[in-house]
Amino acid sequence: MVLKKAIFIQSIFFTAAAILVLASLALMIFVGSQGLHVFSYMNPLEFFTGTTWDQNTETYGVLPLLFGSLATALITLVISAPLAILVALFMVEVASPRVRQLMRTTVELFASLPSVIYGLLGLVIVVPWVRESFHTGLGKGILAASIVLVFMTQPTMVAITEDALRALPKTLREGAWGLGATRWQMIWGVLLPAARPGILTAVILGMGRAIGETMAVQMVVGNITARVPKSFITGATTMPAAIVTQLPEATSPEHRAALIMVGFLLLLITFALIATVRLTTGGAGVRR
Amino acid sequence: MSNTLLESSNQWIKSDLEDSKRTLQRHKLADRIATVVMSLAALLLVLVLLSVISILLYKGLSTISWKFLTSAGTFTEAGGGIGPQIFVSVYILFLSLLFTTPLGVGAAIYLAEYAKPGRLTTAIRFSTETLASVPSIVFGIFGAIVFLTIMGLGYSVLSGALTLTLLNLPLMVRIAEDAIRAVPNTYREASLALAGTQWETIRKIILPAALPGIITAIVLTGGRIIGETAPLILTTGTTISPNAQYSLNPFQTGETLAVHIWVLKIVGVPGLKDSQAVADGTAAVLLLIVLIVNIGAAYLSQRLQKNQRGAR
Repeated sequence: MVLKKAIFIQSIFFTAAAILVLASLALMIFVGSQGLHVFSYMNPLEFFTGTTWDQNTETYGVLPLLFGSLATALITLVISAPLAILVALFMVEVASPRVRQLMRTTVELFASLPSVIYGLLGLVIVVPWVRESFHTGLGKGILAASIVLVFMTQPTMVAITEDALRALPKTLREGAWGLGATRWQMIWGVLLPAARPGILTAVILGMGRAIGETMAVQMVVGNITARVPKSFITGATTMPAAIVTQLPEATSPEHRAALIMVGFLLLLITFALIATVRLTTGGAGVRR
Repeated sequence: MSNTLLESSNQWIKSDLEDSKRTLQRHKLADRIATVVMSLAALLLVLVLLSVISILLYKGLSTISWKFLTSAGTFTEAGGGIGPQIFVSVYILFLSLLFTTPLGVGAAIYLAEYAKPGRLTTAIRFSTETLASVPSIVFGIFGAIVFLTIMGLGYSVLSGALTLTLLNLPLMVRIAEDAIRAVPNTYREASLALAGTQWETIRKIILPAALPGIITAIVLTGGRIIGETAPLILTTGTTISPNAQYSLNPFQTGETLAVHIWVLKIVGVPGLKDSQAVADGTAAVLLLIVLIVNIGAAYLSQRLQKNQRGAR
């Protein structure tokens, strides 16, 4: 009797855990199968190499979306990664415990701001700034999206870089100090190379965040899906922005399937990034 | 002859000394510049955050009033509000937490107390991490396929709440599992030694001890639900039916505060009075909620740490 009850209770908890497995499987299966359905309307080559995405003519080439996402993520990284590394170095090597706590709170608050608020600020601050700096167009585009994403990716990147720096053995620092190195020589010559796997993880996960971000980007990127943008300050789009803009109004099954396929592609890119992290940090673990 | 040799070698040593002095000075200068650059980077983040908060409050606080918070937006007169949107936000928050909390804590209990190393446990952990890395828009697509179309719920508060449940489960499981694992093993041993069953140990000893951590998880999840936008646009919709503004019917379409900001700023609501002021006011309300939630969560986890220190 007691045993039966124990098994019953355990099976309840197990069910809760099993739902996680079922949910991730269902996510993959449903998004994958409905997305791949697009290839019953058009051949994959057309989809992956098409440079026009226009629902009015039922033309769905993914390149404008893919290019927008990759370009946005890369520009974001170029600014965001050095900034995050500097901030993490400041927190670990320069700041007093109190200042460090202040920085940690700052970074956490950046993480907790809703993305629609980032989008709103991008709309009232970044977009007009881009417009006035370049004197052309509306100011919406890949550059504006990247500037907003720089701050949205800071929490991920700073936190992981900080952990990586903090996890370094104390002897590394002592050795560098003992040789008479200045702090910067120690950081540049010893700490940064030693923390490289962790920093790489930070950058890749930050990139994942940039690629998956929807609302903040949708609000400042211009949502032009018809062509691959000619410059970073003209209207463009990204994969998530196109999905959230068009899926609610997609009436034709072809349009719908094409958008879901973009979502599946986004899922695959995210998984590829995570797998890269696994491989690099796994490799580092072996080496150490 | 030997004198000149000595002199020249002296000269050589001197210049060498000068050289290394200069090198040292250069390195010291580089060090100082690097310190300044690092500090400036940190300062930049603090300044951006402070200006973000003050800009949002400056633009929005003047709009906020009791009437703004409790009345509906209006097409005929100025001073419409966001009452229905607040209602929908709270409703989705409540519904979603109602699903997320038992599921998340249940899975956390299984992982922390029952699971044995093996393929099944690996699969559960792998799924949790996978779900945690999925972009939120993909959850929106999944919700649109499964809850809207296959289950036939359509754009509705329930579809949105279910979608957010899946989105937030990994976070809930992770924090709750950490909290349960942080309960000292001596507690378990003491309970089992007193002939408590495993269920009694979990119910009477472990859950109460892990409660602050579980509450932290609920609060943080709540904060995310309030700010979430993209998946809700695809599952709950962007409108509130005017004749069902405070309806508890979960099959109604809905519009949360965050979605409302997006609708006002990007989609536009033709004819709505003061729509830009309403958007700014909504943003300020959202910001205040998020700040309160995070300060609350920080306070809770601080208390949790103190408790744990006391237990040891």
